[in-house]
Amino acid sequence: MNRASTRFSIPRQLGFSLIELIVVIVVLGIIASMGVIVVRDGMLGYLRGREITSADWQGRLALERITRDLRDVAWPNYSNIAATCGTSTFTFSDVSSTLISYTQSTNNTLLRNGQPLADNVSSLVFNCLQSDVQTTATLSAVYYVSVSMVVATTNTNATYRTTVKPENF
Amino acid sequence: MQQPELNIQRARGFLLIVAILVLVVIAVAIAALGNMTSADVRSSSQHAQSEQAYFAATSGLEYATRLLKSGTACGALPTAATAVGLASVTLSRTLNNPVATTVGGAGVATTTQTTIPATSTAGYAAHGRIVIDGEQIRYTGITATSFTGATRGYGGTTAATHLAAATVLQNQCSVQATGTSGVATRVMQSAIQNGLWSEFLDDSSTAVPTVAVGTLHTLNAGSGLVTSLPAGNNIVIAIVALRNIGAISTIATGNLRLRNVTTATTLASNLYGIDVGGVGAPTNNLFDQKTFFFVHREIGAAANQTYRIEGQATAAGVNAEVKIMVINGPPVSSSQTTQSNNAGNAPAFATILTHTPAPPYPPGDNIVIAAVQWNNNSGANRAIAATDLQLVRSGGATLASNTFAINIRTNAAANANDNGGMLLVGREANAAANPTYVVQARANGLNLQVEAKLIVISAVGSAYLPGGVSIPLNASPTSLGTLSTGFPALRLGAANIAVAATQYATGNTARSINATNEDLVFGGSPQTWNEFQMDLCANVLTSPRCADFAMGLMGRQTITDASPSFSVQTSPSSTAVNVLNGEAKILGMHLSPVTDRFEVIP
Repeated sequence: MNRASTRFSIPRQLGFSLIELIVVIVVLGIIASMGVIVVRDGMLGYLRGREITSADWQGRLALERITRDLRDVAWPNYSNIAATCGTSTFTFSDVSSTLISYTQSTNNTLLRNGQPLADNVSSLVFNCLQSDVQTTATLSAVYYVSVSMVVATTNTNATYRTTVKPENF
Repeated sequence: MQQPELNIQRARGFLLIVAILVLVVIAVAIAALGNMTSADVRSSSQHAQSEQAYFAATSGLEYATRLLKSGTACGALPTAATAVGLASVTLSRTLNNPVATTVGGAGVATTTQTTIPATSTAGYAAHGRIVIDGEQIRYTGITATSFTGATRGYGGTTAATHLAAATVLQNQCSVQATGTSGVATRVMQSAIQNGLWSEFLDDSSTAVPTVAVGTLHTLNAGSGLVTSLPAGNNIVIAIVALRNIGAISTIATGNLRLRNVTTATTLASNLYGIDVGGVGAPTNNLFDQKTFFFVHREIGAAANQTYRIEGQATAAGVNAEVKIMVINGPPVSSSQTTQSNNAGNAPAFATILTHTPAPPYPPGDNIVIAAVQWNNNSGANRAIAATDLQLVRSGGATLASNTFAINIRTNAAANANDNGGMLLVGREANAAANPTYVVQARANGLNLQVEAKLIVISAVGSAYLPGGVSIPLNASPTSLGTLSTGFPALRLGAANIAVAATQYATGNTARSINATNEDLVFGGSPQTWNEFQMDLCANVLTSPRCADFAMGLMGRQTITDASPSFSVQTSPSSTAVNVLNGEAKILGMHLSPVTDRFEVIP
């Protein structure tokens, strides 16, 4: 009897009752849905992060390039500056008398002497400032140049601003 | 029996695989995120290092500029790496002071051409500044026989044509600073001129010393103008205002001195005794203020000299206020120490001083400043009529003269001797080469003693307001003139210098100009002023001798936008119309030792 009862009990442990299966499926479902959320957020975060990083470095490197060029502007060869203050086009001669021109193309590409420097530049403004940091259009009063640039992609919109004092003014 | 038990253990392993799979997927996602973040951090830190390296390089140039300004030789600039915060900077330098080459080919035919032909460019810097005649030229490159990329009329000078064989001067330290931070390196270059530095002492804003009786005494507040300037030719201009409202006191001949304290040398002194004093309102017999001027060029001065004014009086009561300006090593300059003569008996002029700079002296804009003193030893009252005390180019134009008549009382009468002084500030624009400058005067009689000292400064940026127009002081304040310049904005180490010479004359009513009411105005506010009240007596027949007065102001500007202006503004004690008249000549100089600063992009 004892053996028989033991023999009966083993088959019951081998299978799963419907309730047990439901519990396991529910638990697995909960775990899976949490996992999916984690993985999806992670993937979305990664993709967005990659986009932000890309846009960020477009902006940073373009700004770096612009500030390097602006620092090397030579007095009195800034005769082109005032004419373009407050616009998205900026042209000047550097200390080696090389003409440098920044423009924003119609497809939002920032061009340096016609060469693409950054994509997705939705806004670009150069402002001329005098020594008390007030905006000026007077050629001889220009002391600083400020740059404001917006890099916009599907998911990001970052503004980059800096003010440069050319070394040779 | 055992088979079912094994089945049970297999069933347990099902969840383990699921868990491992989930963990692997999550781990991959985290690793991807971590990798991205660390890449971002790495590039951010490299960007930061690049910025640190840039500013380290910039500070290296500023450090080099400061060392050169304070007398360190170009070759003695330190080349070992210097830590700057988290970054470090390394300097390298070359002194470019070659044997002067000459303009080659057919010369420089226009004032705009950007290639300057030369017989040779050996020893000249790859970029920097040259001086031809009176013009400074910045250039950006050289070939074997030319300077290219020239910016003409640099540093406020005037662009001019130059003949073949004109001398091409260069004396600059070419400095390169390499900033390093982590893996980033940035390189900056600059050309820094030897000379063209300046220093200024203005006592009008500090305590005013009293001239001691019996012993020579420093008349500056403090120890004088302690310069930190390189070795070279130092041009010193000093204005000494004296006032005594007590009994008359005399500063005897040689007892008002411009001294180089470092070498214990008297550079210049008064040729005639100076009487200052009188109690009460100014009258015919009282001369309670005097102004004395020194101009001197110390040739081959060592670095870091100290200048001061010393004085000794016969009686207590004389107070003194001093302004001293030192200009170190202008590219071209000349000077004449004291010469004297009696003024001519009108209509004849007599030459007081004549000076011909050692030839060849280049053409260009020449700044000429003469310090004049007179002494009436004739036994009668004397007068130098308006424009009869002159600074002229021999055979050429008059550069500066007195606007108002100078009435000088006889020293034979009781009380004070009406000896006085005047600064003649002039500029000859587009001067021909090898000039001779003359100070000449005539008076209404014989035996009026006049003495002068003179300096000539060339090849520096300058602007000049000739004055010569009598302006009634009918408002408070009244502008006696504004010098508008086209000078470039000042950058590190550069300075603008303004020297103003003023003269006043009253009508038939006594007038005063109170202390601080004669101002040299630049940068939007008064920067330097008269420390003592100037009293002018009524210009009536019996007492015209104290109705005119000559004064001077100097200032130095170290921060400004381009095109600064300098003006003299004076407020009279009363603005009743047409009583007090004034006049001002203003000279501006632009000294820019640093030619260019730019980044070398590797």
